[in-house]
Parts: sequence; C-alpha cells; structure tokens
Amino acid sequence: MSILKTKNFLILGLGFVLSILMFMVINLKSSKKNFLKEKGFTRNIKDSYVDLIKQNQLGSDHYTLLGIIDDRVYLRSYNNPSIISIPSSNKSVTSSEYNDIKTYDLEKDHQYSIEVDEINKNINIFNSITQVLTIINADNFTETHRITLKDRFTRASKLGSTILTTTDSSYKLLLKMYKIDNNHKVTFVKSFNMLNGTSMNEDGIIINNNSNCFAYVPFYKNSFYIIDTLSNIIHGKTIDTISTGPKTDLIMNKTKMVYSEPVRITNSNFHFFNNFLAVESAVASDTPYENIKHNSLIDLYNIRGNYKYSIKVNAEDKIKPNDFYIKDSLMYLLSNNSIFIYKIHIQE
Amino acid sequence: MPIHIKKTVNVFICYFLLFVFVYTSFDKIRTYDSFINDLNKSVLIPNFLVFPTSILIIILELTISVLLLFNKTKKIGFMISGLLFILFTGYIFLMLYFSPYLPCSCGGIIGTMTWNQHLVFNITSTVLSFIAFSNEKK
Repeated sequence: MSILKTKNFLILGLGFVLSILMFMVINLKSSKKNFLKEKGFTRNIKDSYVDLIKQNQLGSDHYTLLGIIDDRVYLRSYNNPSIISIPSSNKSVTSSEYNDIKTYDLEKDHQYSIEVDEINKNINIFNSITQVLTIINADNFTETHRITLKDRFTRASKLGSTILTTTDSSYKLLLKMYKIDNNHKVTFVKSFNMLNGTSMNEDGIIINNNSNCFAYVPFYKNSFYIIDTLSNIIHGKTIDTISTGPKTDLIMNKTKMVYSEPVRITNSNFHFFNNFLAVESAVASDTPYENIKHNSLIDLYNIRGNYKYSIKVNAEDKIKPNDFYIKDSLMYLLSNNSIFIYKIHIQE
Repeated sequence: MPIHIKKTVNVFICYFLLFVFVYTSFDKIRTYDSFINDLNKSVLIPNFLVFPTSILIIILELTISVLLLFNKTKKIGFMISGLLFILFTGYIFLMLYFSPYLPCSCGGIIGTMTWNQHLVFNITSTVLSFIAFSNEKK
C-alpha cells in the first residue's frame, strides 16, 4: 500500500514538474518575442540626444580611451604598446601634417594598468610585472615619481593617496588597499576577499576616473563594487543580468590584434561620470548576438549601487563603440579607428 | 548492494542535500531583492508568477531540509528533492539553450558557477536524490 502510494506520488510529482516545464516553454516563446521587440529590459531612459562635434581618424590599431586633460585625448595603443596623447582638434593621428602627437612607449609583454589623473594632470602607470607605479607628467610625459609596491598585483588604481589593487589568490580575487604617505612610503590598509558572501573570481578592472571612489567592475558578471577611500564597500548589480560568456584572448592576426573568438561579455565599457558609474549595456546595445538595433545604451548607477537611468546614444549609423568616455557634457566614443566627440543633451 | 553501504551512501547524500538546501534557501532570503530581481528577468517565468514562485521555491527548499532531518520523512524528502532538481535542471537547460540572455538567480557559492557547471551540478544532485530515494527502506 505504502509502495503504491509512494509510486503514485512520484508519478504525480513528475507530471506536475513536466507541466511546469511545458508552461515555461510556452511562456519562453512569447517572452522572447517581447524581449526582442522591447529591445531589452524596461529602463528609465532619459530623453537625450547627441550632436557630433568632431571625428578624429586614428591609425589601424587597438586603442582604449584613458582620459581627457584640457583639450588632449589620452589613448592606450596595444599593437605598439604605448600611451598616445593627441589634441582633440586633430583630424588624424597618422597624418604627418600634425606634429603635436606625443607618445610614451611601454614595455612589450608587460601587463599595465594605466589611468589619467585629470586633477593632478599626471598619468599613473602600474606595471604588474615589475610591481612598480610610475607617475608621469601628462603634459610632457616625463617621469615624476616611481613607487615600488611590495605585494604582487594584477590590476591597480590610484585615487589621491590611496591605491587599490587586485591579486589572484587561489583562483579567488583579492582586493587590497594601500595608503601612500608624503615620503612615498606605501602602507597596507585592508584587503577584501569575500564580498557579500560571494568570492570574486571574475576578472575585471578597477577604475576611479577622478571621482571620489573606486569601482571594481568584473567583465563577465553582472556586478560592480564601489569602494571609497575609507574602505567602505558597496555591492551593486548591473541591470542586465547576463551571466558568463566565453572568455576570449587578444591574439595577433597578421598585423592586427584581434579577439580569439567573438566577445560576449557583460560589462565591457564603463567609466565614472559625475559620480555615476556609467556602464554600456551588453544586451540593449547593438551586438551581433542579440539582433537588437540600438546603437548604444549606457546605464547609470549611483555610488550606492542603485540603477538610476539610461542614456540612449543614437550616434552615427552602425557605430559600435569599443570604448567611451564622458567628461562634462562631452562624450568621446572610440569606434572603427575613429574618435567621435559628441555633445550630450540630457533632459532633466 | 549491502544494506550498510546503502545506509552510508544515504547519510552522505542526505548531508549534502541538507547543506545545499539550507544554504541556498537562507542565501535567497538574505538577498531576496536580488533574487526577485533576477527572477523578474527570466523569460521562462511570467511577471505575475515571480513573487509566488520565489516564495514557493524558498518554502520548498526549507520543507525538504526539514523532511531530510527525520528518518520517517527522509524518503519523501529525497523524492521531492529529486523532483525539484528535475525542475531546476529543465529550467537551466531551457535558459542555456533557448533564452536570449542569461540571468543568474542563484545564491552564495553556487552563484559563482557558470551555467554549464550549474547544469552538471543539478543533474548530479537529481541522480543523487533518486539514488537515496531508492536506497531508503520501504
């Protein structure tokens, strides 16, 4: 009797589970259609429009935007490892008629974290191979300070007298905070290895973009962490809860650096902007995987980790930014070996 | 299989499932906002069912944990656990192969797994639950 009861209960349970799964399949069809029609998740999109002010042609290289000081744009070149500074009024970085291009060469095969300190007009270059922070003058590219960090690090960022680094430790990521005194002596302050009960085993980047805090943004996870210089930490989630995609490497193909396979990462482009963390959406932006025809959608999160609103950038046709940087009311988009400079008009 | 081996196997599976359900259910309660937020973005669950689903999952996980604590109710606990893992496996399979995007709504350590690792974890847990169910004395 008991066996019969258990068997019946099991069959009934299996039937119930299968009906739920059938219901999910039916719901999937309509939701998927709706998702694609709505171009992503519901967002608070601020009415905004952009005017193209300038378009600067770059050479065929792999670049990222480091920052803007006065009228100069700072780029990192990967094919010829270097930091390049060009006046934003320049038309071409390769043209010989412009001679106001400054270059700071980097060591090949070295791993760097580079950031532009717009306040002190310096560039901080962290070399994770030599464990040295070199501070150079952004105007003339001359070295002003050289500080050696005792601990190994993979990525680093400096905000005032505070340094935040990441270190791989038994496949877990460890964030370490240091203070630099007036004599450039580095003192360890605190480490963060378990955040919100989740081990941070995802690779990402630390940024501060001259705001008043750091952000650690993993590439492959819908998370970000806001860390202030008093070592308070806040965990936030990006609105697109995209899980991990295939990790890809940059490889040399003939003369170009290319990705070993198509990139599908959650957070690829992000910067601080007026104390908001601006993250380009991986879903709602135009990607070859999602068949969604927005040009670019940038989601803004406050430093408490909450989503606030999104800016839709209807830039030039078919522009897919490799990187972006927002300063004051100007947006610098790096795409197809060009820098597009837009004025953003956001309606409050 | 000799009875004493079956018993030992069942004890291990029982502790494993207890850990999984207690840990994940409490983590879902602790980060409930985030859990709801992630369920909201699932293409498999309609919006009006998100709240009841979230509550039902937590209640089911806690109920299974309680059922696994007592010898008299262990068998039913293993069975419901197996059924729940079939549902979770089906959900992950559908999400992984048919969803246009992948939200993650899992708690704690399990949340750090990739979707493929998650699928393997759930299939393994389903198999273990039914092994323990069949080993449990009638």
